[in-house]
Amino acid sequence: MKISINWLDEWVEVSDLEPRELAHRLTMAGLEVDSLEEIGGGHEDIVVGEIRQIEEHPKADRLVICKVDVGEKEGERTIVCGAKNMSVGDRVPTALPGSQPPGLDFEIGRREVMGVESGGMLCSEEELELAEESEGLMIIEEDVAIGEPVFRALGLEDTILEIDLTPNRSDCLSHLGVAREVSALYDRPLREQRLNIGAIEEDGSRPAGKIADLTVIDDEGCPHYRMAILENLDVVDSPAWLKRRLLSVGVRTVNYVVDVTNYVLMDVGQPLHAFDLDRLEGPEIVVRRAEEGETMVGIDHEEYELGTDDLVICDARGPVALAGVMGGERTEVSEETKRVLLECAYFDPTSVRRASKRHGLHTESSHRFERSIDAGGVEAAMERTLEVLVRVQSEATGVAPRVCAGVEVAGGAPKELRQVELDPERASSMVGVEFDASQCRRLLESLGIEVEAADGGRLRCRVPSFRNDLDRPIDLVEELARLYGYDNIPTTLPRMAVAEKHVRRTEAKEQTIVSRHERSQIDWVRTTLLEEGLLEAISYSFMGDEDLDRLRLTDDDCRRKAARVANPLVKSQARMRTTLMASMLDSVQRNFAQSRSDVALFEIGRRYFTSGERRTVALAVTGRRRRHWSGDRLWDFFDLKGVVESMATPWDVQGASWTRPDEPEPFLHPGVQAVWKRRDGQILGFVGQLHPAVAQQEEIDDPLYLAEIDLETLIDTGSPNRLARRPAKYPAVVRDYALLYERERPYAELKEAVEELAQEDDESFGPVFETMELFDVYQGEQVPQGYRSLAIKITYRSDERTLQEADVEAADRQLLSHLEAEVGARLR
Amino acid sequence: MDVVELEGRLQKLADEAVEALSAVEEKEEAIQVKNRYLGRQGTVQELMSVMREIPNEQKPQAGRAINRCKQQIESSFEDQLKEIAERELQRRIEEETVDVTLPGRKTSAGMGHPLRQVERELIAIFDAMGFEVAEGPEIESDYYNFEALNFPPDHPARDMQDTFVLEDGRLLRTHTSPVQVRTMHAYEVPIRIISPGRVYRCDSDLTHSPVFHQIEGLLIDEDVSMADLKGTLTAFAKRFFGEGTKIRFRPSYFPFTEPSAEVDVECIFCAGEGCRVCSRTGWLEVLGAGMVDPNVFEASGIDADRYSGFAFGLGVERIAMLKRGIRDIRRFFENDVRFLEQF
Repeated sequence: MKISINWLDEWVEVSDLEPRELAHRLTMAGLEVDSLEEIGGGHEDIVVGEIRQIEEHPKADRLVICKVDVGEKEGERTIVCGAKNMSVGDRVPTALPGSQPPGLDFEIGRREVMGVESGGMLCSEEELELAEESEGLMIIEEDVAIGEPVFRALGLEDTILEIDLTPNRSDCLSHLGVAREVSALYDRPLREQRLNIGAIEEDGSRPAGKIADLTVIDDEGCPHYRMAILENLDVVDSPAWLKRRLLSVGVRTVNYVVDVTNYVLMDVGQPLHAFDLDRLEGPEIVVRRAEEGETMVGIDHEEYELGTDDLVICDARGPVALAGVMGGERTEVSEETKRVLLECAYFDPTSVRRASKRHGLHTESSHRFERSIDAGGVEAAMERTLEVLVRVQSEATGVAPRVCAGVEVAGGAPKELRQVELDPERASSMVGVEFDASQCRRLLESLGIEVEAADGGRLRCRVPSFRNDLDRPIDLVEELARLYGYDNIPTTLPRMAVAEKHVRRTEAKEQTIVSRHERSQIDWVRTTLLEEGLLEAISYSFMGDEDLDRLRLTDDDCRRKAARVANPLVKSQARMRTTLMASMLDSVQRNFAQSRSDVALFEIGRRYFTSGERRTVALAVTGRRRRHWSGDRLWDFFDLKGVVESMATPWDVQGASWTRPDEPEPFLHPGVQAVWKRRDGQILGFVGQLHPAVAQQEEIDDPLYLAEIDLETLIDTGSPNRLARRPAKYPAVVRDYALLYERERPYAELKEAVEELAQEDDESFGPVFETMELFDVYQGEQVPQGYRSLAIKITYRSDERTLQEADVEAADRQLLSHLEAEVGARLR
Repeated sequence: MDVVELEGRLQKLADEAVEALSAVEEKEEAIQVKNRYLGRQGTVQELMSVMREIPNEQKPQAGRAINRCKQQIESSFEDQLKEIAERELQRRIEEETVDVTLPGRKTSAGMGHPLRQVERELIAIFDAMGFEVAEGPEIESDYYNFEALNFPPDHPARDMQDTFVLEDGRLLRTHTSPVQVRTMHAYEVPIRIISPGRVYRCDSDLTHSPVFHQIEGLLIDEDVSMADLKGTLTAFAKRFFGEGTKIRFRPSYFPFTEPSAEVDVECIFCAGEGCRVCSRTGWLEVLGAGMVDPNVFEASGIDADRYSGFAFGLGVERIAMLKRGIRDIRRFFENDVRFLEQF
């Protein structure tokens, strides 16, 4: 909302205030001033000149030579000019050498124009940025002194405040509204005489009600409608003062009828509409909901298809305005218009808002109606509009338009003043400041609220109709705090019991509090991955349909049932992600595009399923794990598997298994992927290499290893119960075995076989077995086809005594025969 | 041979041996030299045979001379061995010496994503102030995201938050406030929580991202006042931005709080002098806050006459951008290794 300080000054004295100080004060009162623009200032060298003489230019038909009096200081000067609209005696803006009119991008100099020296430039309104476009020189009509700077002389030095209003303060969408606020803040009277309109002369012989019919069918959408009629119009250009007012707050000028309605809108916040009465069929006005299939061409020349929800103003033929949003082209006021029907109404905010949204039409009018206008101000706004219209036309043409007798009114009187009871004690405890009744009264009255004492020390407050936002006691508390000044409120700390934990309500189904323990578990995962050298990524929670295909997910894959976003910004963000893999691929590719081939990323984020949201960690590694002059180390499958296992240290995953999945992930290498399952069969996640075919299609040339682990399942696994074991006292015996092992048989089977044997406490192996470690896997020339060699190291130790050679040999024998029998392994 | 001659010959031998030993470089060679003199067939041993020729009264003197000679050679041998060992050690040390200026072999453990860093720092401060962390779903219903927070249907306030809606009618939460509602439904007063998390709005430019992070706080108890809110946020600002940090409150509007405030922190770059970052105002807008609106209490079954409370919220991206000097919010979500490595 643009507010002109000059305009504001018509409502409340602000001319003596430093604009920056005023802006700060408004900002601190909740009317945030975004910017402050000074206009017309600093143009001391553009002055009022009076034309004394006009001569033809001897060498150019289109030019004239003017003698211009610019006051005592400068005297008379010769200026060559191309305009023709001026005559001797006219006062015109004269830009002296060294000045730069705001609408030009060069400085005025003293120069020769076809042999005649020109000492300045006579300006048009456009060149002074007083109009968007203009023809000929600006002829100053006001009585101003010669030699005065033009902007000052015309009162055009102004400051424009751009105020960013919160949606609750629709009362400040006008100069009157902001003036009320200034009046309260500075304790200055409002110049309310502006609201007192002198009686308008009406022509009783032509009552408005006889000329056109008014019927409001939908009084829910339109609780109040006022209609006035003016005849004998002469639709002229608006006078300079009106154009300047509108221009200063960024409103285009059209013709004086439209301009006056816009002026009233910006002045008091009431949107109005003028219909060309001679183009209204009937003539009649019907306010109703549109019928299915009805259309209307707006003044923007667009055709709108109306729905049964749209509140419309109709004549006998159909809709002529979308109520409170935009008028129609068919009845638009033009230069030919002789009679207008003026509408000044209160439309239901919801109704206007829906129409505005549905048709994508946001207008100055809809902006105000949907935030609710001052229902109590409709009548005054109509009177004011009529008054200004009459005045403007009389001044311009000498003939006043005829105001037809009687404003037709439909709908009851505006709502009564709202009554709210305020308890000063409650207000004080809420704000943290002791407000007594008299202070409350003083502050509230400054806002135009009528206050009287009520029972129990309370105050009965009558809220004026323009403050739609003040409905409840708490609304008044906010006004008190605001006027008292948030900055003046003391700072205290809430009284809090130490270490008081939240208590669940007995009937509560949900739990939102996350314990510190649970948070530390997530932190552990994160910290471990960072320590492993991975970088933390964060990506959007979205994916696109193409991602599902890109990952080659089968039709029955539950990840395809990803929720759809109805209004995505782009197609690739039209789904909620059910896997983090697509985001990971994108991030890797983005890095490859920047020639970074060593990428190790992880992200902790949610996956979104119909059954709920699952916190998940995803990993992607490729290229070198370690870069060093002494030798690089490339990431491989087992690195990533190891990282995942390290990350899971706090949980009881000892018994979890890694296996080649029965249903492999379609986007992973069939031979290089493993599914990680808990003992109870719940899947924790997977680790694998990107499928070569997918890699080719994605143009990822180096092997990329991916993992996705469901953190909810991992955390749910619980912590292992770690009981301390006494370190053994007796020495250990270590034996290495090179075993021939079938190539296709998983190592896990060997491990299981050893562990199984270790459980047997009454045999020779079990009681002396301590640990097993795999230290080499080899296949090659020395190993027969179809086999590989696994080198394992077994540590034997007894809790009770030093082992003898015979003990170890017995254990050895049992181990080897067990392995041969169970998994077909034998010594090489 | 008399004892004087013997002494002379012994001394000569000792001198010879010491000289020979001092020229030796290897341990083996030193042993050989020593054996040449002191061995069973060594030259000193040979001289022992002349003892018989020494008169008895001179024998003790001769014996002492022999011992002296042996000792001289022995100690010279020991010295030489030490020297050899010392040289050996020196050589080894030289051999093993590395160019310490070559780069070390490090695991480049980062500090994590800048957004997470800020988020954790914020959580830690509020945690220390007695707030517990609460979480909730990101896919929400209109009820929790708007209705229970006093956003009337068709109200312009909904425009402040351009909402992503799902085809099934649910929506992506536009703030973490739904977690406050869920917590008020599930827990007894007093309540003191912060809710960090992802939120969504349909907007994308230099300073707006469709996905971003918020942390909101909620405190409800008896007699909680705006002064308490100011005190809490002042304490927070001092811990987070530094001891001398000033904050200011401006009236504002949020449907779920009343009175509402925008909270500005004195610009951390110019200490309030006015600079480019703070658009010459000297203040940075970082928090929204206010007293919980009675309608919100009512929707959650909390007695608004008995209890009062405050809520506040801030954008993690905004803080991280300020703290790290990042201009474009999209940097946070590109996962460019060159960006992430810096933190």
